[in-house]
Amino acid sequence: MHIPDGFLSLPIIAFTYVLAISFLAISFRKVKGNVDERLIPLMALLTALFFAVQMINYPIIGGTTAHLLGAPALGILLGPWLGSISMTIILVLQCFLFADGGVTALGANMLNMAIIGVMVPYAFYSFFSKKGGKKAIGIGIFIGAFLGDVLGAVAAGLELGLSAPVFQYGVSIAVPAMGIHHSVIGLAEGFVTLAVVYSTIKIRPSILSLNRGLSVMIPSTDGVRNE
Amino acid sequence: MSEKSVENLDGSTPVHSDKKGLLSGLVVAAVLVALGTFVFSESIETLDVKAEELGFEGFSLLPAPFPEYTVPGFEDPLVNFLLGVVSVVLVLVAAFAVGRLLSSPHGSRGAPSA
Repeated sequence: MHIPDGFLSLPIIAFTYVLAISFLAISFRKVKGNVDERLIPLMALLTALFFAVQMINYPIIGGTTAHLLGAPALGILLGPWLGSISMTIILVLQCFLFADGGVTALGANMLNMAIIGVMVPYAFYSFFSKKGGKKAIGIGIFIGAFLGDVLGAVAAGLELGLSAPVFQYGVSIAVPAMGIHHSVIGLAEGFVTLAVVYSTIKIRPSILSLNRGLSVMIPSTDGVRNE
Repeated sequence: MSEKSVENLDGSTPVHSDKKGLLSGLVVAAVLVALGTFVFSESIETLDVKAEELGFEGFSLLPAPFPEYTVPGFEDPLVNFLLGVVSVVLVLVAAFAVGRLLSSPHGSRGAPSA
């Protein structure tokens, strides 16, 4: 989903950069001084792990390949603001060290993966966790991760489609092409996010108290209780 | 949840579990990099296919030191694997540095939700 240089028009580049930098500034403001220092090793490790995960390209439909994003798990485990910052670190290093995503498209890539890819899953997780119960939370995590991937891809399709004539396919071709392919990736992202969230909580249960957003998953006799 | 219970939940002191956790995580990351380098390295994304149909390729405005996760001049997958492992450590250090910049003293509020 990393858009390279040369695919986006100047207005789209400007618009996505303004949006992404504004959101990043809000994220920094929200978390500055609010992150428990005991959460930092886990944040660093998850960021490094999902950077590594993105190096694995697995085959999907039509001879194409895809890679997991990791953004949903980052958003749910670290919280939306810190999750966005974590994903941004990955995207910035990928762009400047490996040319994975163009510098002119960095704003768009941040918008698609570090904002939509993190916020949508967190919103669904948060909504379903209010319903209570292990099953509802699991459904929220899966649907959120799936939609985070698909909507991030749809946003990429819109940015590309609206960049015509720079990118010659219009919205009617770019959006379905990206959305359909990423719905396959979204399913994988959903299952992996479920596995990562639950195994992280099992391995490091202290995260439940370090991240207020996860407090609904404090284990009880029912496995998970809603607070 | 109290401070005491945070430590007890891990069954060890946070410092000890952090080091152990980081090491275990880095081993897992190295395995993932190995999979990405030796087995699942070929990348043909939808976007690349669609662009190819139109007859144009994306380019990199700024020259990156390691384009496509390779060391220029070295075709050896082992070199790419080592680059991947070093990159993972670099990402870990960068995230640690940013986290430190944003962190609050021990025992404060934790990561804020939305």
